[in-house]
Amino acid sequence: MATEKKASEYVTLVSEDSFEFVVRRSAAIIAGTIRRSLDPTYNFEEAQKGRVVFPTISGIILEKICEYLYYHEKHAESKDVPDMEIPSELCLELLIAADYLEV
Amino acid sequence: MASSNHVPALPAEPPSSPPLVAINSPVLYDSRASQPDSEIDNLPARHPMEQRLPVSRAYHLDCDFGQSSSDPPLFSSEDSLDGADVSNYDSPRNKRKLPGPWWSPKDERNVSAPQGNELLPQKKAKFTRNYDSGVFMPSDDTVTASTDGKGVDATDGDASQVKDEDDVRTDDVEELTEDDDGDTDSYIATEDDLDVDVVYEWTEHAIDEEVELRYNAGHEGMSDIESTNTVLSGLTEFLATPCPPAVAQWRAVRAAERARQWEAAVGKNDYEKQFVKIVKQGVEENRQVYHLDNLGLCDEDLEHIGLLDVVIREPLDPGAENDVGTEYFRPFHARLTVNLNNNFLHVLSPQLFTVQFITHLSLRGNHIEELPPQIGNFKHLESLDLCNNQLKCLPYDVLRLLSPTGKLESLNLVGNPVLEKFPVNDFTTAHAKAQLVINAVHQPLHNIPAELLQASPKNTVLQWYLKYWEENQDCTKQTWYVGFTPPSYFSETGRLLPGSPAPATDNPDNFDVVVKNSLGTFGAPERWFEPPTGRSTVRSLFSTALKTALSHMTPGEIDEAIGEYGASPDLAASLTNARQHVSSGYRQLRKCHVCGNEYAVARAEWIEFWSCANPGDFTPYQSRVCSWECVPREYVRRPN
Repeated sequence: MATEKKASEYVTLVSEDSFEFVVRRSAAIIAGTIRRSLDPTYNFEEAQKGRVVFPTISGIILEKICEYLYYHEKHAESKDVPDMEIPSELCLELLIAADYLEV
Repeated sequence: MASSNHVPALPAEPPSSPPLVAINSPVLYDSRASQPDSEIDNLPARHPMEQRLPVSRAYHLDCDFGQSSSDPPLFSSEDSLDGADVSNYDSPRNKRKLPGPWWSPKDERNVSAPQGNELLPQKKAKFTRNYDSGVFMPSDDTVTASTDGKGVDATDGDASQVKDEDDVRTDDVEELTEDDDGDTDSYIATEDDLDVDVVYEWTEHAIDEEVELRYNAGHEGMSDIESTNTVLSGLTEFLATPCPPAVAQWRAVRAAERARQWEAAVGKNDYEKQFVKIVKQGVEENRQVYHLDNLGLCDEDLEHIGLLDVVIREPLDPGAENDVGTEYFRPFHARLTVNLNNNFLHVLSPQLFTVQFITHLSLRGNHIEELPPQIGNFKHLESLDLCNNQLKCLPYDVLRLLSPTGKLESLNLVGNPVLEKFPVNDFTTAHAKAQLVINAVHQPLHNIPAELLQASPKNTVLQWYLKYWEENQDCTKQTWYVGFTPPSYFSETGRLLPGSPAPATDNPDNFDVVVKNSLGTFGAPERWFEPPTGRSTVRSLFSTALKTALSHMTPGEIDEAIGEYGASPDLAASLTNARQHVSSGYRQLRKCHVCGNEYAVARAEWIEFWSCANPGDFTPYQSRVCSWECVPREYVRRPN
């Protein structure tokens, strides 16, 4: 079981074009979909391997999402946080990805 | 001075006779410099400070009055005043020049000087009058490093702005003292005259051109007086502003833009053609009042109303109008009256809100259900007539147009299904009753409503009446706060949070209004919804991305773009919501009424009731905010 194996502090997010992003677990679980897939109680394959593959999200978008996850984690307790800058050419894809990831 | 390209000369030697008394020739001159070179070689080295004595090149002009304004001689070697003589200035003047740039050490420059001598061979400059000197030269490149007289003209010509006569004179003198010619007095005079003349000529020419342009741009049907007024007002504007090249270029671009807009403005259908015709005619006549009633206009027909933006308020004619004294220097801002009564307008048009100087706007008899918050752009609005529309409430921005922050004085909402907690009649009845009591019992006025309320505390009308009464004591206010509805909270996608009260606009028959008066707080519902706390205040990536997307395209375009992926229910819901907020044609996102940030989906909204002096006239103002944190604290908690 994942809990017995003392789950790693980092998880790997893999994009459609097989870019791999190793991010802190605490940051990754901010996204609802990732949190559920890594939840040991459901015992998905992702939870066992600590590796989540997104066959619909490209590397560029996933990089931006990882940036957001850390941004969110960093500012979680602060007030009057400035919005993260999003390049306009990515906003539609990010919108779809964020919708999917529930972040 | 733009003389940086000149070979710089050392500061002239200190005047041997500093106080030039009664000498008309305004030349700075050192008698020693006229001595032969061999004698100069034999001169003792001078004190370094002496060489650096500041020498004002223009100051000799002051000597015309025959009095010396200079200090007395400082050093014994200097000549006394008695030595000053016209003959000192007749001989040609030698000027010491050192090769090399001015910033090189003096020693280095001396080394490269020919024959080890400080003085360069004399170069006699020929002064010719150049009649082109007033024409503005294109660039500094025309100023050569030569020291002859042409440099002066080119330098003067560089200045593209009209100089003061004094400036011109000073400049000339500065130039001249660096030059080798003797006959400076007459030169200055002619050069001055020349410059000024040319400047005048230029201005007059420009005015002529402007007048001609404006006459040519005129049109049939404009009466003589009107066209003259237009031309004159334009001229005043034209003359009042100095025109650097960049501004001129910008004006040209803007004029071209306006001309293009003007050409492009033709109606798509008969209604719009009629509308455009009236607007264009009015703009050409520079009219301030536009009657656009009963034209059958829809929202998109208003596309070209932005043309009104060019209308200006004509300056008063001092000959014809009486009270010139008070308003003579009034601004050119137009005071537009725009009547769009009895058309088929629903959401109005973004172009309407680009016309800044509308002071009277009438939108009677349309189908407006929600006034766009851009109404706040009309900073000069004085009256707003919204009779016979479908409005339930007004945006909070209207409140800012009222005094003291705005100029709005008359706001008419008759004939709208405006939210009301109780019929106006109840209030006026209560008001009448109170008046009766006041007339019967001689008590301090403010006690009466309180007494009435204590008799029947459940009576909503009386609660409001007390509040109205209390606030009404301060007669200076135009409108005052009465109460608010409990805020409704929405999720990121714009869905009402479970448990949160529905917006009052959704069920106008049954909503709560909290009124706080001196006897307590009334009207708060038993179950008060508070938003979940302790959650991160970071905006979600979803709403950030949605906001970015909406700032570049309309909800419809987003829908189309992501259609192939299939929008999830959440996304579809928030897009629908955004579509309501960013109603068609308005690309701008809305601004939070509390913090001013832009948002795509409102996270909370509530309605505030404000009263005006007219009893029973309570206006609901809807406030929408970008996040739960923007809800004021007194609205979050249940008031006690």
